[in-house]
Amino acid sequence: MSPRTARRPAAEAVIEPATEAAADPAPQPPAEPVVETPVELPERPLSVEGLTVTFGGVRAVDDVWLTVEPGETVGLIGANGAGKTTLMDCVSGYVTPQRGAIRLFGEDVTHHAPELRPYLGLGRSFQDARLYPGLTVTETLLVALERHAPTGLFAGLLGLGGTTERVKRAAVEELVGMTGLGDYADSLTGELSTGTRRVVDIACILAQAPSLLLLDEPTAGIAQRETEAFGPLLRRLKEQLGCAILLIEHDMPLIMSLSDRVYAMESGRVIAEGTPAEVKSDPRVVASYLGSTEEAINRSTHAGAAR
Amino acid sequence: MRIGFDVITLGAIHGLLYGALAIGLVLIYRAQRFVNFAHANLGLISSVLLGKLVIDEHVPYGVALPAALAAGVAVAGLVELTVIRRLFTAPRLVLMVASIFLAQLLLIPRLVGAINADRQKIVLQGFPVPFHATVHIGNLVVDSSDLLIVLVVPALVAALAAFLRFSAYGQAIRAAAENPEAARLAGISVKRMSTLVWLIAGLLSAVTAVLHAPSESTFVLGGTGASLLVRALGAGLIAKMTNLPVAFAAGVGIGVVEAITFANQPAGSTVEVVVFAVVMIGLLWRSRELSRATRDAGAAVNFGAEPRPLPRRVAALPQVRQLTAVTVVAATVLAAAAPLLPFAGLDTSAKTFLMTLVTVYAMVGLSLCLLTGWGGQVSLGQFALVGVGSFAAARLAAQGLPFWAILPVAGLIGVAVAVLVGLPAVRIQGLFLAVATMAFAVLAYGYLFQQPALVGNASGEFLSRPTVLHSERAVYWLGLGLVVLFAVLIRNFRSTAAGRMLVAVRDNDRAARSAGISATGARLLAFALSGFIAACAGVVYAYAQQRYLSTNFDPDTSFTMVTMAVIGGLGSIPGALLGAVVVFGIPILFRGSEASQLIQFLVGGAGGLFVLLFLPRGAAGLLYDARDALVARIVRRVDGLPAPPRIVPPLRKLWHVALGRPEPVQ
Repeated sequence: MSPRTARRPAAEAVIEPATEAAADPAPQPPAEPVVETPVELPERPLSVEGLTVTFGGVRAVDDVWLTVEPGETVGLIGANGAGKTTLMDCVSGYVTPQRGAIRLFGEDVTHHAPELRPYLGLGRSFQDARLYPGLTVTETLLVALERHAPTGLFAGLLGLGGTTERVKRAAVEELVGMTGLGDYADSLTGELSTGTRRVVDIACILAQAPSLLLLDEPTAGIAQRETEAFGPLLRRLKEQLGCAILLIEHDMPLIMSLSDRVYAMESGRVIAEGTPAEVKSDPRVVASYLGSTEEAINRSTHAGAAR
Repeated sequence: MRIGFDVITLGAIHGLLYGALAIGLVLIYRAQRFVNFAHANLGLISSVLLGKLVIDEHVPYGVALPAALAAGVAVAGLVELTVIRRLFTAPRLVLMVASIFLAQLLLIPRLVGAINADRQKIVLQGFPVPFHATVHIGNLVVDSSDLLIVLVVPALVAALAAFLRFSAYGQAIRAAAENPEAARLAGISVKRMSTLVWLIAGLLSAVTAVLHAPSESTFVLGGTGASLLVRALGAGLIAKMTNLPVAFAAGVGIGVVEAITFANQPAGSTVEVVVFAVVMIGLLWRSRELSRATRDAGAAVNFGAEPRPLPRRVAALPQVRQLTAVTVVAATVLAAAAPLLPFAGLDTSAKTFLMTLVTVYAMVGLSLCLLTGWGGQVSLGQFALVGVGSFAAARLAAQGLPFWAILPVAGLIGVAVAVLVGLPAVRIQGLFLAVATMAFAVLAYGYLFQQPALVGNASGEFLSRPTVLHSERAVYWLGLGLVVLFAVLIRNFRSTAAGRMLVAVRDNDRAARSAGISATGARLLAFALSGFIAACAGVVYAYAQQRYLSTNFDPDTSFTMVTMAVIGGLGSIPGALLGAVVVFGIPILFRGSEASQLIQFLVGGAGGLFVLLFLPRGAAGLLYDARDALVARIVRRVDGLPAPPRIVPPLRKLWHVALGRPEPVQ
């Protein structure tokens, strides 16, 4: 059972950010002084090596190589069906690739179950921000804190781990105060408006404090004005957590302004990689995604400037 | 091993019936993406009417048959129009639960004496067939009922295939099943196609019932429908619930396998093991396609009876705390004093015994609250787990284990069995996990509970009571004490980390896994805990009954348990208790001593449907509405805090609609 043995040390190694946020007096589990801050992590947060996924006869992802360096924001663009979400599902563990490997912070996780990966520092926010309609906001945040202090189902059942539970509840109180969710602390997530639920989603990311965050179309279905506010918000979030980000987004100005590097995909393959400026002017990207003429790009930069 | 031509042929003939049923199941699944548990019972009325008309009324077969089949088709149409249409957009698991209620409701024709043929005459004459002929080919003897199957089923299936393939209606049905949106845009009425599919399914079910009736040895209620259904489901699963020819062929294959098993193992009921194996293999083999098909339909479902939490400052008010405490204490005291009350004969031992059974059902309700309400996993085998506890208790007592040790040990045996039953949850969820649990219920009833090695005496198990439990009241108080204990325990469980992980996995398993929660672990934990509670209920059941048989734990009772839980309100602890009291407790006040199955099925089936259609939060919903109203008054009186938002209770709304009065202005 190698996944199980891999779980404990990893959980201790990444414990710092949220427990700092909690600032509680309760005894901390003695974290080994392996790493001080996530920025100094010696290992590369993510490296995708020759990944291939086929569904039936279709190659959804075809020999993709991709890296995310510490503290970096990496954008992933491409038309619908280019394989972006499949790639992200592989990194999360919901899809097992036929070939290739995925390393998180140096560890090969290609065949790890999704629920083991958060303990290595992986966090993911979902496109629909559906969260858990049957849990209160407080409970939702407690679930998000799980990776820092896994209760273990049976310990939780027997009421053991009472201290960790108290520590977690204190951390959640603080988070709720910080994000202005006080009035909703005991409301069911399912009863909240979409906007409020997105705030809860962000609070969940803060609680989870991942070292590598996967964001799948975070602005899908939200109003234009909120999309504009999202850029600064994401920057602040990243500053606070010191994490690396892999981002899928259809809003070109947003993703180009946020990303340090961009990968462009088409039919499961990476067709271009580089700084936003390089990718934007790559002829293949222009042809396959941005549009066939110069006008299209100008229009998209135009739209960006108009905001 | 004996595999002769005669065995295979007779097996294939019976398999034709499974195949015909499987086609109906698959048709409905393709059109509406749910497993119709009422399918085998849709045509029951046809076989009942045919028997009555031919045997008692002496109507010629040729006249009676069309009338009987028409009745079956009409019932199917009625079901579609009154129930399925109203739940068109509901989660598929809710539709499946509705079909469980329908399955019970549709058993009623068999229980109404007036429309059933004279039992004696059926035994003497046999169920009517249009002609009497016997064909001998070597060892093979085909009698008239088998000949009828050979003549009718292939022709019917061929006609259906031609209809679906070549007629405009058939194409419209297939189009509506493949892609409802596109079909609607093309001008096809998806709802009308749904009615048509149900009429076809009703006809298939009616024909099967009429053809199956002559070969049924007895007209025993319970188990027959479920065991037919399991065979048809096995065939459907092998066909991925989509491919009609494969489903039909698989049905025939199951019949052959069944016949071969029976020819070689006539003594035991090994056949049930083989059928169970076929269903499980079908489920696991096709799990990928099946779970993909149901993913969008929602693998797990929140039945929504969980109370909306009160705002913290309101909950902290002393008056509000007192309200809860007083209600709980009063209910407990009333329940404890019930067998002492000289009211409606409650103090007689006969009625005390019935009340003990209510505590057993209440425990099962609590186990379903945890498993189905919070875990989102529908179990159709919960009463089989009660049986496991009952038989374990007798075995343990025979080993000389003292009474106080039997309870936890039987509970742990229940845990082990429940985890085995829940093991498919690793790969399948939702609808098809429910199918797996039903397969277990049929296996337990038809095989496990008849194995001498496991249950001791085949003529019935006997468990003598220890001295502390000598009176009926003592057993009742044991049951009640356990109900209170389990209610408190699972209430605490819900507020622990494990409890909230369970709900998180139910609501959004991908997000929960990405937060580091093992979905499989959470699901198996839910099965384990519910298994413990159900097995403990079984121990109380054993002490109450003292003598019991495998027939006490038939699959239909497991269905009734789900009904009871939905009527009470799934996901709410008071709801679980209310369900048992409403369905099984209140009838005690009005009855003599023995529960009538008719009343049980009527209350269960009709009550369950009523709740699904009009009171989705169950009886608990009314309770919480009352609580919210009271709390709002308290809050207003105490310190003018804003009252929690109040909803007009749906029942009252319905009342106003029924009386034609305008709704009250809020």
